[in-house]
Amino acid sequence: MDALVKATIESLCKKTLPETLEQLLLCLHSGLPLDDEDLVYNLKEGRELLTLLLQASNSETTAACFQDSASTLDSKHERAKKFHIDSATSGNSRASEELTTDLSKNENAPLSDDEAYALLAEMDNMEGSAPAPQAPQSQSQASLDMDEDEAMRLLAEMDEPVAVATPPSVTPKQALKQVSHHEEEHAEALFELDDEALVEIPEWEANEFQRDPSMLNDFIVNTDELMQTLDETILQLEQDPSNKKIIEEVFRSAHTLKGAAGMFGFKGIERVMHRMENLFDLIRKEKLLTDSRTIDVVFQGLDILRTLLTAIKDGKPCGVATVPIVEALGLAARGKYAATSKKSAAAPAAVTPEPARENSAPKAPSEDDGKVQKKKEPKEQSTIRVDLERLDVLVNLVGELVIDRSRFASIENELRTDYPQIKVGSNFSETVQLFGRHMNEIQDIIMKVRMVPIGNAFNKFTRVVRDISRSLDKKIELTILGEDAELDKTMVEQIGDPLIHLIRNCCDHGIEMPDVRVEKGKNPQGVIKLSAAQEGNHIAIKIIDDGKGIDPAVIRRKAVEKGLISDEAVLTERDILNLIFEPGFSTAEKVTNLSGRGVGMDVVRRQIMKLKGTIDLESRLGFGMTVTIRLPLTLAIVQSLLVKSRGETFAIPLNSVIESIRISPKDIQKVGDSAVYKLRDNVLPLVLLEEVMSLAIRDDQTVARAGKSKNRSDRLFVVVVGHPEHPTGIIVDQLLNQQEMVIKPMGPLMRNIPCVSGGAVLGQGEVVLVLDVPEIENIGRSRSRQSAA
Amino acid sequence: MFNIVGELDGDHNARDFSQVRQFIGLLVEKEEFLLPIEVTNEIIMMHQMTYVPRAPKFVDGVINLRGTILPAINLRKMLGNASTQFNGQCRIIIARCEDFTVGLIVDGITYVVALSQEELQVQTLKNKGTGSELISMISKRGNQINGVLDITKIVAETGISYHEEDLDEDAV
Repeated sequence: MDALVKATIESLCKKTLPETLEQLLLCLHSGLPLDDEDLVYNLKEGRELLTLLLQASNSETTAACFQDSASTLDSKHERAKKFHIDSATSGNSRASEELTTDLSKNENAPLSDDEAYALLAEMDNMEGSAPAPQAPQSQSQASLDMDEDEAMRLLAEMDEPVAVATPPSVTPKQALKQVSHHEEEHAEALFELDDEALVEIPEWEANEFQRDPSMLNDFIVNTDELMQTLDETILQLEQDPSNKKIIEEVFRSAHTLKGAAGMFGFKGIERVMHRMENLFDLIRKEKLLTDSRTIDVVFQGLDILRTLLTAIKDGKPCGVATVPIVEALGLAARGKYAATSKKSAAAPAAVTPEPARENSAPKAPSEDDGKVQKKKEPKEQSTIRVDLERLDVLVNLVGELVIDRSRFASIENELRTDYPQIKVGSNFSETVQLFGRHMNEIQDIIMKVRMVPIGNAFNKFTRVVRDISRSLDKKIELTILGEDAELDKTMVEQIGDPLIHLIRNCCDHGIEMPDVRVEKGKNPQGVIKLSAAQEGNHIAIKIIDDGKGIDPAVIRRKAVEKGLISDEAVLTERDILNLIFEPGFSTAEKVTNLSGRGVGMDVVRRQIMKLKGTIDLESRLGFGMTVTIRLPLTLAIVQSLLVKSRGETFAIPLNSVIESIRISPKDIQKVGDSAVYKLRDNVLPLVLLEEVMSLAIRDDQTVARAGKSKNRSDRLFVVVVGHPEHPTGIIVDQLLNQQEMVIKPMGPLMRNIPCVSGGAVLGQGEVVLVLDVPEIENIGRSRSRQSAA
Repeated sequence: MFNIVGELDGDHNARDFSQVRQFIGLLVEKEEFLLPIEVTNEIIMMHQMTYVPRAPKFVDGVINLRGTILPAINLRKMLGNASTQFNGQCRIIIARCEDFTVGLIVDGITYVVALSQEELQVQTLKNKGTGSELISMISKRGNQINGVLDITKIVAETGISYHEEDLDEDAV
């Protein structure tokens, strides 16, 4: 037989037969009058195919068999049709959701059912034998027998309760009888499944995808994204369990993740994900109601998945047992939670402390749900992933072009003014101008390329607040505003940790227990507002809570206790509040797993300083507090103050400049060896830039010390830098201007230059040195300490 | 624009170039030195230089090479007692040393020469005059004898980070 014809027939069989089967099943189970035309068409199709096979095949008997089955099919179909009309009239055709009820209901008409089963079996006979028509005659008969089993199996696949219950050899009638016991068997089936789940499987199974580093990298990046989507959507689902769109989204993500993990042979992930997917499927089909307990189990699962994914990134299995969570998910699917908490507690994977399941806090009041819903759907973005290194090269090159542009402009200017005999022409000037304009645009865009919405860092906080509030038995709601504000990618990555810390602080120290809040006449549910907004070249991130705030008196007492300040120190309220950033400071009465060790705020401030940002506190005692973090939009470009000393230009990063003042040399007082200036009741230690930078030595001049009159001018410029509490003044010759600049490292040879943190290239191509303010501060401070001793 | 003076070995086409090494001839004061061509990236005109206070020895400052900030080592200071001002013939050779790049300020560039193994002699001259410690080989071309500079030795001579005392000497 022509192989092509055969293949075509086979594929047609494969297509038509399951379709027919499905339709028959549909009519069997739902009792709904079905589209007869479709069925008839399919049956006819099947018959034609059989005839074709008959012609092609040499086997007479097989052909006869087929012929027989086909004609029986036809007649049976007629009867089936009749049955449906019958059942329709007798009112048995009520549609119902559960397959099992259907089956038991159909028992009322056993005869018709039998027929229907027989019909189905027949169909499966055809399906079973059609793809292998050339089988030798003797085997053909056998295969027909076997096909009865096949039919049952196929049926079972579509109808699970029957599936488990039906041994391969039972006749359809027996199967029906067993259906009546479906309840027990259903449970049994699930139990069996769980039994299988209890066997620990190897976490990884090596395959070729896994060994391909670039594929693996893709997998890791993709799964990171998927996990994030899952986190977000599941939280949304908790708020709005009936939203079909959300559950579909959850299901999709889960499914994709499962598929990818399966492809790479990460069996552990695949299995957990599969269970989770089952659970989502039940939710999707509205067979399971979502409540916070379900979500808790799902989050536990996600935590385990995260551990597993981290293990993949690290390149070695972590050995986390997946059994407990698989079991928990299985139980959750059946709506049982009681035993869940203990078992899952055994799992070492929980990233964040999980609250106990039994005393689950009631869900947030529904009036707040509206707010979360209002959060607009993430807009469809078509994006491309670019290597950050490549992007940096591009940014650098654009920076070069900017410099070239200014050179062009100056050349053009020179030609026009200094060489009037050369006809420059308007064309040239225009081109130079146009070039300049385009360059500006390019520069703008290239700087925006690195920017990502800060929402990426914010979104995980919803989860954090949820977990903390449950473990503390507080009611806290987190509202996020301004997640569209854009920030340099590296900044968004690095701001996450300090923010988590601050939010935890709000939850732990700020927001009171619900009963206390009610006593104070507040809403029992505390609100933490996390907002971001652009303010010129900075982004301001605010964390506002409506908790109890900070009592400056308490801070002061604690600070005196810990010896951070002396008893009689005079401090403004702001100064006192800022004391909580000092290392070792904590107001928490006892150390909890969330906070109280006194390392936190210190670290937070250090991290924010590292990002060239500032942090500010504001407290309204009894009404909460506000933490404001200001960050530059990007680290690549830094606003700097250009100063001149002995003819050399230096840049001072503007974020460390407090103010610049002009003082008269005679106001400089000497304390021992060091010069100080009394600035508004504060003693300001002074350093002379030319001295720090040894500029005087280079010029081979006698060292002029600050405080001695130098006859240079009667006014000196002082740039006040450093921390507002203990500033340092830098004496410079001249203040030039304020400019945006790109700070660059100076290479290994120049790494250890004292008081210089890097270099920056200015518009005209010249290099200026950027001063290292903390180091200069140290010089000033060590001097005053020496003199004090 | 690089103004390379002299021939580019144009008349030596017949030679087997796989057997030779190429060198850039450079002038410090009036003396000619050679630098292996493998370590040189490019030669640029004298550049606007930024003075760096308390920089390592012999580092005059930093230059901006298309956005990259490089230290410029003054070979004239290192090899002689050059206090004369830079003139129009002065060039900066951008050279690689291990994984970083430095600029070398020289009084001029002569030409590129190709030398066979016979014309080179591994020879170190310890304390035999100014700058002799920077030489790792001697080249013999007819009557002409030139020292071949070793870039790693030049960089070491500046006394980077691990020579703290040098730093201090320079600063005081």
